[in-house]
Amino acid sequence: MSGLSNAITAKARAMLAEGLTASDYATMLQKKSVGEIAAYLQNHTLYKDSLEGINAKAIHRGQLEVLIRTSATNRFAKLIRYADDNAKQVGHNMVMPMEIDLILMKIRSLSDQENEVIRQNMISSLPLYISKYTSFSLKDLADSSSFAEILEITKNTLYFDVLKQYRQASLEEIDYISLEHGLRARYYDACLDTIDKYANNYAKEKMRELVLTNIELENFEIIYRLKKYFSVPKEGIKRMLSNHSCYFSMKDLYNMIENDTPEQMLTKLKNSRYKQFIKNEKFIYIEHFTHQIIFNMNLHFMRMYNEPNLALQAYVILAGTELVNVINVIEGVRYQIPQDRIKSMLIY
Amino acid sequence: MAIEKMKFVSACSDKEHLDTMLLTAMKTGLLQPEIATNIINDDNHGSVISTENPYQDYLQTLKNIARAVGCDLHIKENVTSKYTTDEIEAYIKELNEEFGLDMDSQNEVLSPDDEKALQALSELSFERIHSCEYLNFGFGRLPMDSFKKLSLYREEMFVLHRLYSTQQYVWLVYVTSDTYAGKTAKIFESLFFEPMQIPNFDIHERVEQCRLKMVDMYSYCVRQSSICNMYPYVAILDQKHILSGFMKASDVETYQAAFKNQPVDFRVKEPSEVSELHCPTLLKNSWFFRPFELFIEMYGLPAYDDFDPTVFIGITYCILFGIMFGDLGQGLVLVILGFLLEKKGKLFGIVGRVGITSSIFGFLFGSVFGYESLLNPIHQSLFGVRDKLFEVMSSDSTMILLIGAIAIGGVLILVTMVMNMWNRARKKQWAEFFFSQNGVAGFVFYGFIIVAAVMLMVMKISLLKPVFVVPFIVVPILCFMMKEAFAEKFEGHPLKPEGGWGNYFVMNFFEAFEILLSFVTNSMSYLRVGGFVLSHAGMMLVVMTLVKMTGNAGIAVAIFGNIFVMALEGLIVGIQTLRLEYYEMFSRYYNGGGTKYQAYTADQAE
Repeated sequence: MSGLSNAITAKARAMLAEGLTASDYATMLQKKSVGEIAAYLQNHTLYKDSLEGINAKAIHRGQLEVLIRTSATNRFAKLIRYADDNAKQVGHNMVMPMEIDLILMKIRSLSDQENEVIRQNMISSLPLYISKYTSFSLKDLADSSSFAEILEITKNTLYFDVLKQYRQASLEEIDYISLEHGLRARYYDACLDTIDKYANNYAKEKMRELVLTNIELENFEIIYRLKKYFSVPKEGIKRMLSNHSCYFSMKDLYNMIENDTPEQMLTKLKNSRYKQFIKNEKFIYIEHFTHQIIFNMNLHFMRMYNEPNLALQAYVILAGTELVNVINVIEGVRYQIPQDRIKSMLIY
Repeated sequence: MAIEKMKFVSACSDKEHLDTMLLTAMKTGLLQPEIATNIINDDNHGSVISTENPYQDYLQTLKNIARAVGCDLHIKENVTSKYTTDEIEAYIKELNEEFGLDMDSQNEVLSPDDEKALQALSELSFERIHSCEYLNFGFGRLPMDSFKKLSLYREEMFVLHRLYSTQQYVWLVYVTSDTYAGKTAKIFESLFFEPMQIPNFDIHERVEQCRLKMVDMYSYCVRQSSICNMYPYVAILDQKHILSGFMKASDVETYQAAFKNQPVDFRVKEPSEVSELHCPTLLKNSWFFRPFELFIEMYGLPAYDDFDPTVFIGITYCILFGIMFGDLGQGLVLVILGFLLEKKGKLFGIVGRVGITSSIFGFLFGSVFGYESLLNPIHQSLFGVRDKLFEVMSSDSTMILLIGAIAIGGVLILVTMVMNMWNRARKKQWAEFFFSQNGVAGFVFYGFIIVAAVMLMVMKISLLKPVFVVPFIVVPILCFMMKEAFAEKFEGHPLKPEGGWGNYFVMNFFEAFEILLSFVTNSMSYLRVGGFVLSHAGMMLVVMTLVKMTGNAGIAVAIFGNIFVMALEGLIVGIQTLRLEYYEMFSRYYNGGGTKYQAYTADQAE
């Protein structure tokens, strides 16, 4: 690994240290309006570069969110500048979930062409700031007016193979759950393929561990939620899972589907290898619990290992968690949710 | 080496002419007024003016209105009208109604960018926009990111005009028909459009109409507010309103002349006559030493009746810096830089002056930008030496430098003791004068040690015999220990300490021990003077070695090397010299405790 790439580890750690602290969150929670939060972020935090020149008093919540996301992307761009070509693939992997969401949103808007709101949401949520990393033109996607056009736009992307299976179906008949499942599977495969290209076996192993635990915990969330709140048949749950696991085996997960209550699942999770990354977290809801584990795990890996690609991957997750925290604070303050309730949702 | 002579001046007038008197006093900018509560007491039965300043709020409100409507408020020298508070309040209300402002909207100030966009929009004429019956206008800020997405709505029924843009926003006006108004508004809302109100009329025209009166009223409020701000300095004694304070003795006549044709009486006193008040200090030094006042101000100004150490600090700072940073070329660069930038601040003045001594010592050391043999021919012809006057890097010179540094330290410590004694004698602090470590006892003790050391080293004569040791070492040490007891005696208290002699001697034994140690450490502290001579020469030797190694690029290396050494070494030597001044010298003779003379001006009053 070149010295230049090694700089990523140092820079990623430094950038992480510049991030928001508990005291920043505490200060933001005391604010009374979105404008006050914007002014705080603009004057006291690492988001100041992206928020320079905004009218903090009058800024729209949506626009603030866009700028915060832009700031995170810009920081990632600074980091990836030091990476080798292979690692740059991480940049594209980072935006894949957003690409998938946009494709799904577009197909939904096409199936209900009369609904202007879906179209407006599609356009307003178009993340143009990631255009540099996307595998197709976001504007072309927003502009497309048929499934055939979507296929044409995504022709040279990883999504094409999945999407083309739905070519003959009318838009109303598309099974969105299986389509999303298929696209997500492509995303996970892409992440694992990127990792497999690295020469360093040790790094490969650790990076795979991070990705696979992420997929596994997502599977866990699906099983827990469907068992607790929905009466989905066991076979139906199994079909919705991604075929990857890490600390558990797929057999363990299937056993949970067959035999365990949600509470028993949670106990198993707490006693598994994930135990070391669970630090007295209060259970609020399943996604918060698993994200907390993912956060602790990535933080641990970033601190413990000097591997630049690992640092890059962990940084994307950790910065993403911070982003979600800020958005939670903004939304919480906007809807006047009690401070302690918002605070309990934050992960840091 | 002086402190400006001051006078205590009281101006007295009746209530009717009070405001005029205060205004005149403020305009002269010569008086540092004394707060009235310091003047009045139970004996003189004085009182103070207890009026609130309503004009401060009016000023803020007028400023807010002016900012909201884009009116530039300036202060007029001559206010044409007088306004009562009712008139001011009525006019403020009128302005609020005229421009459609309320108390909340005054806080929502248009940013300069908003104003530019509004200016561009005004070209379309606000009245004409509002007169359109079937067209619908929208004006505001659209985030730049959203602006790029507008092209995706190309089939929608609206047109837009870009008015102004920054990195974050595009200010635009869009036009649509009433039929599509709702739909268009929703599109823009979804793109985080921040709408702004289109004014009903061209605000600038109306502002122009109101400007004269607003400026006049604003200026009046500024003047009245300034006068109100001076009320705390006015003491009322026997129905007379008195403004008192300190000013330079040389300004008294000018100050009195300013009140010509006003019924104002004056009383001028010496600061010593008003000893209950703290007379401010204004340092007065010659051109050369004036920049060094900065160091005195940083440490704390001397009290008015104290002495000004600026000249001493100026001389010693220049000499010590010059020795430590001895290089003719670099010194001249400092001189040029310092004098060119002198107007930018006192620190540059100091740089210029220390540059002179750097050049002198650099000449004596024979060093020019690190070239150590360039001045050899001049040294040979001037001083008749074989190579140069003083070879810093020679191993023979090291001890001379270090011993010389301690010798300089010894001399400076003795001089500061003499200055302390003179100061104490002036203030009649005899216990400190005779028995303290910086008084006669300290001088005798330290002076003897220095003399004994010199005699031993130069003439091989030892003075450490009982006949010398008892009077010059033992007695001074006893004096250090007895200082507090003697001080009590001088003040008329009993000699016997409160806690008893046993307790006293144990405590003062350790204190005397600490004093003896401090003499050693203070003297050693001056070793840094010699150390930095070597360090400077060493750094330049490195630069010169690099110059030789780099061949054709040698000139560039020499230039950057010199800049680097000047910046780094200059900074370190500057700080170390200041440390010697503050810790080794000031601590022996200087107390500070003065306050800076600051005349009250119109700017302060606002």
